[in-house]
Amino acid sequence: MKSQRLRGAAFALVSIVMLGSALAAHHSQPGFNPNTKPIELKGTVAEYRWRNPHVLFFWDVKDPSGKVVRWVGEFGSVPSSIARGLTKDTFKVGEEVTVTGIPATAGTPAIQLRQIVKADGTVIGGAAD
Amino acid sequence: MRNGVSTSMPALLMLLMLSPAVLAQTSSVYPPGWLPCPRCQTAQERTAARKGVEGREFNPRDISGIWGNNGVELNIVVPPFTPKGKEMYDATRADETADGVAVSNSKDGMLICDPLGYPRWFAYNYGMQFVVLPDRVLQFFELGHTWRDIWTDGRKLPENPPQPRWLGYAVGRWEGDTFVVESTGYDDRAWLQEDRRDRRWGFSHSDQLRIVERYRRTSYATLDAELTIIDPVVFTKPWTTKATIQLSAGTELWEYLCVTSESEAFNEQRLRVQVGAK
Repeated sequence: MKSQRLRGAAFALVSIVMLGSALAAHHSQPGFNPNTKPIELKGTVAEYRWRNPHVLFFWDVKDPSGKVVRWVGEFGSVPSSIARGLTKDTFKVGEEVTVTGIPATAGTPAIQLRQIVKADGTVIGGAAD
Repeated sequence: MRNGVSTSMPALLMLLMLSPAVLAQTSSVYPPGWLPCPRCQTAQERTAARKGVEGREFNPRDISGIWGNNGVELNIVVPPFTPKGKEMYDATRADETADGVAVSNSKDGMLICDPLGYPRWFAYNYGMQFVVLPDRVLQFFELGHTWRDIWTDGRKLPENPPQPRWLGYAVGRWEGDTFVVESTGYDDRAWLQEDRRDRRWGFSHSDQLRIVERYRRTSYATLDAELTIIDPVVFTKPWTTKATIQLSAGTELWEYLCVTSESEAFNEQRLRVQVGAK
C-alpha cells in the first residue's frame, strides 16, 4: 500500500497532524494528557478493526515480566482513514510494529497514537477524528 | 459556521498545510467507475475535482448535488438559555470516573446509535445530497445513511404532529433563488449538536423546536446556508448559523450506518479503557 507510506514523517509533524484532526473528533479525548511524554511499544498486531465509528488497532506487547498485554489505539473513521491513505489491508495480524503515542493517564493499556513503524520502516501517522 | 475553537491564523495555516489529507497520496482503493465518499477524498483528489467543475454553468434554482464533507458545525455562540434550557443543558453533562475524568460523551445518544436528528445530521456532515423531485426535495445523509423529506407540494406544516420525528416535518418553497425550508414536530431526545468546546455537554432542544433554513446556490460549487433555530423553551432568542458549503465534486455517498454492536464494542474496548472506567 504505497499511498499510505509516509516515510520519514517527522515526529513533531505527526503531532501537529493529530492536533488538526482532533478538532472534528466523534468523541472527545479524555484520559490523555497532551503534556505526557510519548512512549514507544514494540509488539505484534493482534487486530486491525476496519470499522466505524473509528478504526481500532490492537497490538500485543510483552511487559518486563514476560506477560503479554493487549494495547489499543485508534485511527479516525473509515472515511477519514481512507483520506489519509489507510486501507483495510494496511496491517496484518501478527506483523511486528513499533507504536509511539501518549499513554492513558489511568495507566490502562490505551494509547493516543502518534505513529506506527512497520518492520520494513514504513511510518504511519495515526489519530482519531 | 465553524466552531469557536480559537486558533491563530499562522497556526491554522500550519494545521491546514500539514493535515493528514495533504500528507496522504492519491488513493487507489476505488474499483474502476466507483468514486470516493466525500470524506474519503484526499486533498489532491478534492482539489482536482473542484478544478474540474470551476466556472461551470448552473441553475440557481437547482440545489442538486453532494454538499460538504467534514462538518457544517453550528455557530458555537449560543444565545442565553432559559432556566429550563439551562437545566436541560446541564443534564447532558458526561459522567466522570472516580478521578474526575469525563467518560467521553457518555450522555450522547450518538455513541449508542440513537438517530442524530436534525439539525445535528446537517451539522455532522459526512456528505449531504439534495435530490430535487417534482413534489419534494430529498436530503440524504451519508452518516446514518438516511434521508429527510422536504415537501414542496404546497402542504402546510402540521399544527399537531401525530408523532414526534427525529428528522421533523419539513416543507420547502422558493423565494426568488433561495430555497426556504421550515420544519417542526421534532423528537426532543435528539441534540441540536454536541458542545464542541470540550464535548462534555450537548445542546438539547424541546418538542417546540422550529427551524428555518435558507439555501442559495451562488455558483456551481458553492451553496450558502443559513439555519435559524427557534426554541423558546430552551433559548431566549433564535440561534442563527451561516455557512458556505462546498460541492463535493467527484464523490458519491457511501454507507456509514451506525451499528449498535460495533459502537458498543468501541465504547467498551476503547472509550472506557482509555479513561480507566469500570
